[in-house]
Parts: sequence; structure tokens; C-alpha cells
Amino acid sequence: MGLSLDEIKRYSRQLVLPDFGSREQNRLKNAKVAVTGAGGLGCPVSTNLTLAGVGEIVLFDMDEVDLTNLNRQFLYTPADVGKKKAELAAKRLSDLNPEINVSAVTEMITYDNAFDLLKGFDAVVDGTDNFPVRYAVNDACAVNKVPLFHGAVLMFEGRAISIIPGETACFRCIFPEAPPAGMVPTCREAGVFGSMTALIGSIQASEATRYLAGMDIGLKNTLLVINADTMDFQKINIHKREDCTACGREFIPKPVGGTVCADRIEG
Amino acid sequence: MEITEVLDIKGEVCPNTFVYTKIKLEDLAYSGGGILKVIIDHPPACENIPRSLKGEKINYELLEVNKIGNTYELLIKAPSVED
Repeated sequence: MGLSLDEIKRYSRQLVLPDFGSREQNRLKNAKVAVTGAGGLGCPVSTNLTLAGVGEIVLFDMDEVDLTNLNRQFLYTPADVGKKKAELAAKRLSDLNPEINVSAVTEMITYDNAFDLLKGFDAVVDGTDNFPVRYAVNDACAVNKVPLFHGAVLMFEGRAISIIPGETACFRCIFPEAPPAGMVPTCREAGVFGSMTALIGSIQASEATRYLAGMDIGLKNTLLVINADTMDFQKINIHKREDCTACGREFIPKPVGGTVCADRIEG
Repeated sequence: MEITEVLDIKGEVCPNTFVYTKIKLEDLAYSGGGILKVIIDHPPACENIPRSLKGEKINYELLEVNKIGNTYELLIKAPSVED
């Protein structure tokens, strides 16, 4: 227990909320969260977690900033083109909230290393942009029993789901196999609406923050699909599968093939 | 009446007066309960703090409000609550 006077003032507008107080803020302060991807989703996710006061954030991203990122990835400027996103983002987030620790990992997440890299976290928030890494993150979280807050955006549509190991369906329960390479249009072909990444990333951060604070969350066993054309918010009930190779009776490693760039869907 | 802790927040205005009081009362409630004396010099807080505390899950009890010169002392009881 124990928040400093500066912390109480900094977080005062959330501490005044009826269901949120010192106990909840301390839970956030003591939490360690991995954010996989520091792009379209990773920027709003990590910014929201930082401002809310999550005590330790580790950003995973191997990419460098590209000029085409800048319609949505608001932690970067044109002067950052060519520099490592995770390192830049960690520095900017630390400036936003010096009370917390933010660090960067620029190693690429693979099916071989995900299980070790994502160990020891209280939650993982996934903003990766391709199926091989997305399935690696899902399977690692299922095996390591780490809650996973998943999000994805393509064109004007976004999706989010909250996965609590042993309690809810996982990403692989809904989509046991990745679509064949070429089935899903790449970002370059389909485009990404910047506002949708900010919206979905904020929803992931909201779910993760509430969960870490010990509050109820709304996207357990529920896939939220948002379409910006109509601004429809659709909630689809999903179910845990006993035969799921990630979280079912028996874990069966199932790496998803393809290069990480072959089938990018925005993260 | 035995005061468990004193919170001197003279110079603070709403809503900070409420936030500091709420956090101190929660810490008190989760560590066995007790009576908190809050010292303020922002008159609206005398009404705002007790009113806002009514919206909390923990059932706090306003015992006294005393005016001493230009300052006010609120005595508030925090019950013992399991963390």
C-alpha cells in the first residue's frame, strides 16, 4: 500500500471514481505488462497503460518507424523515420509518466521464443500485425497462464477480445488455424483507418487496466467487432473449446508458417 | 474520541480535498479501521467531502464538523474492511 502525494494528485481524476481507489491504483502500480507491437494498436495501448499508472511496461517491437506509420502511430514523428519504434516509444512513455518503468525489447517474437519472452507478466496486450506472431503470443499466454488482451484492425473494421486462461476461450478457440497466406489482404492492399486503431487500442487498454485493478471486464468470451462505416458495435458470444490445441485438454504446439510480412493485419 | 490519523490538507480545493480524504480513509479501512481527522480551509469541501463519500462502496460515517477560526475539522469514521 501507499501512494505518494504526487501519485494521488496525478491519478486523482481516476481515484475519484466510485469503484476505483487506492487499492485499485496500487494493483496497477504493482503490475507488469507486456505490449506486443508498438504500432497502430501498441501506441494507444501503451499510452493508456502508462497514463493509468501501470508500474512496469515492456514494449516488444523489432520494427523501425516508416513514414507510412504516421497516419496512426502517434508516438512517432517524421524525424523518427528509420529508428527503432520500441526504444522511441519507451522513452516517450517514460517522459509522459516518470513514476513508472517502461522498457523496450527489439528482438523478434517467434514461436520458439514467445513462451520464454512472455513469461512472468500479469498481462499481455497484443497489437501484433501478423498471424505467425499473433498465434505465438496466444499459445504462449495459454501455456504460461497469462491473461491476453487481443486486438486487430484492418480497413475500417476492428476487433477485440479478452482472454483469461482457464476461464475463457482463447484466440485459437475462435480461429483454430490461421488463414492461408494471401487470403487476408495486407495492410498495403487494404489500408488502415487510423481512428480505428486508436479506438480498438483504447478498448484493449480499458479491459487490461480494469482487469489488473481487479474490476469486472466486458469482453470475456466475447468478440467485439466494430465497423466505422456504420459505427456498429457487435458483440459475438464465443466458447472455450476442449479440443483447442492451445488452451484445451492437451497443448499441441502449432507454429503458424509464413513470413511475418506476408499477411500483415494491422497491429 | 480517539483520532487514528490526521490529514492536513489546508490549501487544497475540490476535488483534491475529496481525493486525499478518500485515499486516506481507504488505507485506514483496509488496515483495521479508525477515525480520520481532516483539516481543510476550503469551505465548500465541508459539504462536498461527506456527499461524495456517500457514493463509495465502503460505508464511512461523518461524526463531526468543527469550525476553528478559518479552518474546518471533519471527523470521519472508517470501518474495518477486508482487502
